[in-house]
Amino acid sequence: MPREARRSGLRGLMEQDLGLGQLPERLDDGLRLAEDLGLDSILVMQLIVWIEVRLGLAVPDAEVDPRALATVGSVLDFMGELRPLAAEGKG
Amino acid sequence: MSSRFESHWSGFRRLPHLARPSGRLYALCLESREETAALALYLREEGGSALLLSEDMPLDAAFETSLESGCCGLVYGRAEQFLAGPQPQERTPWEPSLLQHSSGTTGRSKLLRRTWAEIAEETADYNRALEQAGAGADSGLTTVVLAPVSHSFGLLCGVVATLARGAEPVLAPARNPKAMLAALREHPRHLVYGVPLLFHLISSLAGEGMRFHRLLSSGAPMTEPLFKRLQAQADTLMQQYGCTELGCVSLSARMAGVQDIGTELGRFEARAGGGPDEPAELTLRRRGPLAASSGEYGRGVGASWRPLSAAEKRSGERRPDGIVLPDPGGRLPERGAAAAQAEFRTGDLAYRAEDGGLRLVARADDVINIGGRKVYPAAVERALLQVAGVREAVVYGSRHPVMGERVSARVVADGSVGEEAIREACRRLLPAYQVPAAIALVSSLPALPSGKISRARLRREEES
Repeated sequence: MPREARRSGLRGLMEQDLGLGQLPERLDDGLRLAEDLGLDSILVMQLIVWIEVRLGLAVPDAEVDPRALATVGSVLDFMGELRPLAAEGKG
Repeated sequence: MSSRFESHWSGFRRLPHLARPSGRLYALCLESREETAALALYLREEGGSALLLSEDMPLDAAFETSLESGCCGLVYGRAEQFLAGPQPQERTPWEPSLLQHSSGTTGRSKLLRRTWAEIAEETADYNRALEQAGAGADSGLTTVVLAPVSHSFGLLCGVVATLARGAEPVLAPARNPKAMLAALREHPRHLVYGVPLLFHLISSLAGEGMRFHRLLSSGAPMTEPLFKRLQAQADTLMQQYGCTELGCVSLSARMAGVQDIGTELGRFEARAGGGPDEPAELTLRRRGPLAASSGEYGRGVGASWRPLSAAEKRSGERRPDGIVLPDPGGRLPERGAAAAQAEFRTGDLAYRAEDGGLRLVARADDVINIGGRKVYPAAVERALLQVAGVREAVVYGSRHPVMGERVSARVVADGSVGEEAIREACRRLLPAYQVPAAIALVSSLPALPSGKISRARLRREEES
C-alpha cells in the first residue's frame, strides 16, 4: 500500500472507527497523536486493532515501540512495514 | 518467597532517591509495568508509601498531582528519574500505604489510602475466594494481567495476590492488543485480568483457532453483545466487583449474565434488594477483622511511623503538606469498633438473586426518574443493542424543562438505521416511558481511561 493510500486509510479509521471529529484538512506527518489529535492510550490500542481488522494489515505479536505510535508519520512508517493479513495466515 | 520483581530491588537501593524510602510517599508514573510493580513492592517491603498514577499522565500533570497529594517527589518514566518536591525528606504521618485516585465515574476523583496491612488482609480474603472459584494456588492457572498495574485491580488482584499464592504473574505488553493475545496463546491455561474494553479489543483480533480459558473482568459492566461473544470464545467468564476504598468486594466464579458480580468475599456482609424488580443500594458492612497469614507483606507493616496526635485523629488526617484528609484510614479495625461497624454505601443498585449471588443493576445516580417511575439505563441499552444496525449505546438521564428528566441515548450505528427507526424499534421492546426521548447518532462513545462511560459526565455536558 503506497504511503498516500495509507494516509487516507488512517484518516478513515480515525474519522469513522475512532469517531474523531475535526481532524485537520491534511494529516501531516508531524502531527502528534496525543497532543495534536487527541488520541489517548485506549484509542491508540483501538487504532491498532482497526489497522489489522479494517485495513487487513497484520500487526506483529510483539510489543510496539511507543515511538512508532507517536506521530502520523511514524504510524504510516509502522503501517508500511506490515504485511497483508492473507500472506500471514489467520490467527 | 522470592519473585522476579525482587531482582529489581538492589538496583533501586543504589539510587539515592530510593535508597531510604521508609516513611516517605512517592508518586509512581513509569513506562514499564514490570518496573511499576517492582517499585510498589519495594516500597511496601521498605516501609514506604506509593501513589499510583496512570502511566500515560503527562509530566507536568503528574508532578502537580504528586505535590498536591503530599508526595516527597515523583518517579517518572524510569526508576532512575526522580523529581523531588519542595520537602523531599518529609515523612508521612500515617502507616505505610498505597494511595490511589478513585476512578471519577461519579464526579471528581478522590485521593484514597489503604495501608499495606489492610491490603494484606484483603489479599488473603481475595485468594480464599479465588480458591473457592477453582482458580486458587492448586489450579495450575497462569495469571496474565492485561489491566494496568497502576490500578488496584491489576496491581493487587493481578500481581500481589498471585505472588501471595506463590506464583508469578505474567504482565502482558501494555500497548499492543495483538501482543496481549500472543501472551494468552503462550499460556493457554490462563486466568486473565482485564476490563471489558480490553476484552473487546482482543476478542475482535482473535482468529478462529483462538480459545480463551478463564477471563476475569472488572471495572465496568460488559455489554450484552460482548458477553455473548466472549461466552462463545472462552471456557469460563468470571467477574469481580470492587472499589478503590475497599478493594475487591465480590467475585463471580462463572458469570450467569452481565450483571452477575457473584457473592461477597468473607470479610463483608452485603445488603442489596430482594429481586430484579426491587433493587436497592448495595451496602457493605465488615465482619470482624481477618488475620492475614504472615509473610504476605514486607517489613512495611511494622515500620516506625509517627502516630497521629489527638487533634489529627479528631479532624481526620494531616498530610505532610498540612492539608487535612477526611478520615482516609477510618476503616481500620484497630481504630475502634465503631469504624468497623460502619456501613459503606457503594452508590450502586443491586439485588440478591436466587442463587445467592449479587446482581448489579445500575449506579444509583444513573437511575432516571420519569414521573416517579424508575428507568435503569442498562435495560434501555439492552433494548437498543437488539435493534439491527446498532453497534454501541449509552443511555442517561438529561434534564428537561417540563418533564424534569428524560431518557437520552447516544448510539453508534452502522448507517443503516436512523434515529426514528431506532425509536420505533424501541417502542416494540420497551414500555413507553423507557423509550429514549432523545437519540443522538454519534461515531463513538466517550470512555474514561478505565473503559467506563460516565453517564454523570454526559449529563453534565448537556447541562453546561
